[in-house]
Amino acid sequence: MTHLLIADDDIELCDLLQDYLQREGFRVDLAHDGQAAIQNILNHNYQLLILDVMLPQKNGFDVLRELRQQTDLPVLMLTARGDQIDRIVGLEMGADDYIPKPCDPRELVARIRAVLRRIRVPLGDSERTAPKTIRIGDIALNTLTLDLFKGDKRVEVTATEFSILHQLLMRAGQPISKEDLTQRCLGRRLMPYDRSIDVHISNLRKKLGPASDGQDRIRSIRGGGYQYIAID
Amino acid sequence: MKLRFILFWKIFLWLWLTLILFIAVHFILTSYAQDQIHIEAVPDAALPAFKFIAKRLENPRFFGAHPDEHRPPSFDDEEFDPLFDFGPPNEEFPPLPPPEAFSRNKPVNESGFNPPFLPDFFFLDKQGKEIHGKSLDQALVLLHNQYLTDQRPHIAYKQENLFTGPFIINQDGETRYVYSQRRLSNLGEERLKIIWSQAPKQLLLSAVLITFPLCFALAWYLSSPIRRLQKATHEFSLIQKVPEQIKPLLKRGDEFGDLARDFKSMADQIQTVLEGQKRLLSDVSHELRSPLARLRIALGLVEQKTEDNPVFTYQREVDQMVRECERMDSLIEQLLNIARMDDISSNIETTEFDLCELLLEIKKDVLLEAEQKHVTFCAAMPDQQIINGVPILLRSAVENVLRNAVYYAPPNSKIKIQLSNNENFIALTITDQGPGVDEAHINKIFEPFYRPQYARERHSGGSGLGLAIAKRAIDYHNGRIWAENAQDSGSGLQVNIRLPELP
Repeated sequence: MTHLLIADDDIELCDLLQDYLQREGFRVDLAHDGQAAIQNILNHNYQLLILDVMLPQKNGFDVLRELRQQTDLPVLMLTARGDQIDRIVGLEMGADDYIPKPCDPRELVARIRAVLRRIRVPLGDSERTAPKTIRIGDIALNTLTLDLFKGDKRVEVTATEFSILHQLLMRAGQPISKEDLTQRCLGRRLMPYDRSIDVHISNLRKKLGPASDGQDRIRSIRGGGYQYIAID
Repeated sequence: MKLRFILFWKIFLWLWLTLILFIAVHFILTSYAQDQIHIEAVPDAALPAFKFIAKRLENPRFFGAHPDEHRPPSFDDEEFDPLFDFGPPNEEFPPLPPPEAFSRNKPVNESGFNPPFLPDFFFLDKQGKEIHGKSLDQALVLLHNQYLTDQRPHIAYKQENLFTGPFIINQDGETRYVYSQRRLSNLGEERLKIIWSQAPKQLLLSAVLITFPLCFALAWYLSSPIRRLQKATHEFSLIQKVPEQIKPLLKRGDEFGDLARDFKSMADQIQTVLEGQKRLLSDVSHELRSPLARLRIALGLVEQKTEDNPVFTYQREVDQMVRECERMDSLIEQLLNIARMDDISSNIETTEFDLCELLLEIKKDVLLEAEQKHVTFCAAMPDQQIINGVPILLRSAVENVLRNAVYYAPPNSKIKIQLSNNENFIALTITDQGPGVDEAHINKIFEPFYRPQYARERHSGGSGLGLAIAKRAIDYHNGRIWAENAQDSGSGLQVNIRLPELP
């Protein structure tokens, strides 16, 4: 059974969510402040964290920062709807996706499943036959072990970043639209003002650095899309 | 902002004109009141005319035409000219010099001298006595003395009287000095000329030179605090913060200082109230979200449980509640947007970006709603239009206007989007084919929660905040947004947006 932690200071909301998610077949623990959340994560083996930004003692960002130093635990941020800054900051700090609050519980479940799917089965059914390791230039991506190498060095990326890079590398040299990337990697539709993919790409660029010729590895396409520049 | 100096010029011109008029009137009045006598020499060009007239006066027929030979004729008849109107020329009376030399109306020469029209004559003997015993005016005495000094005829003005002479004639073997006196009806003009010539020019010039800067300074002193206050008020109406301009006025001890201090305390109060209101709006919106979030999950639970146990199906009711939740949520989101945009202290960074690309993205977003109503877009824009601004704000502005247009557009209609660059600004126009808005209320559509009557009746789902948000976003960019009913037939509301390229 998938074990989740919800970190939110709204106790009633947490109870409701726990009830709802348990009915959807998840095992749900609750934490009502940042310190307790970190403590819980260190003591349990959660598969996913649902993290509210506004938390007493340590806010969501602090928790996320501390967490990312130790674990790749997938994180879904709960942000106030329309608050662009919170979203972008969360994604930049390594959250896998966000969901605006108040949220449609069905959508929450769908996003939880989308994130989990990326971790458990990084490849779709059709992609199972694809080669286990994709090598382009100095980048090597192992789709079974979920390892990413640049030259000899291992690069730490989140599951979502891995998934996005995987999509780009599979179609290296071709532009892929943001809609497509959102659908395939985040498991949802591209929303207005949605900069999730942009932030993940920006994180990837930082982690991978420029190509050997000094160019950006991932090029932005006018009109909203990205392209991995193939290097032979 | 355009600077207007109307009040300054009004005060300045009034003061200055008053002073100048005062000085001018003073000179005229004193000159009239003082019975001044002004004497000027007859110009050389007029001397022959004097000789000629003297010759005529010598002729006994001139005075002989009257019963009393020694009394000059009465010249009540203005048309009769005693010098020229007595028969055709003959030996005794040689032909007249060319008329312009005598014309009563035209100046004889450049100096403006008019040959006098002589109604009254004084005959002086060598001792300077009037032979008929008439009393002599002071001006006449002066004229005679003048003649005795320089042997030239003169003319003298005193009040409305014009004295001329002498005409030297020989009467009964005696030399007589004849002077004429006449009341001039058109002396006003002459008089002004004389006053002007007598006026102490240096005094006048210095008066003008001194009054000009003084009036200027006073006008400035009076109008500049008013303008400063006006600017401060204008600034306050824009940013709802007590502006810096008012600071120097606060130290003044006069009524302007009082006004500025009162203005400041009023502005402070308004600012406090407004900020409190904004904070309240923001806080309330945030607080409303928590129960809404719980309600949303609770409804999810109800749905879940209904699926498990389909004996009771409240699906329709639950759906309705979910929809209401979503509406309330989007309303709160927009309220928060407004609160954020009103909070000018939050400095949002501007970037350069392509407005055309943004427009295309927005069009794509709104397309889904439009397709449901079979509304099509018809866009005319350049390939690229770089603008310096906040993309999120401009996006929400344009999107709200466009969504509004789609909302009110009748099915199967067209929405026109036009973007053009007019040197100083970027013009964006969005025109729908909807019913338009009553002219009387057309500018109210940018107020929060304003909805035209028919929209209320239709029980529409719009939040009533979309265009208010658009206006705030455009204001933030120092742009202008306004609506008008399109003039072309078949067109409804036209929303115009003007944006400076570099706000």
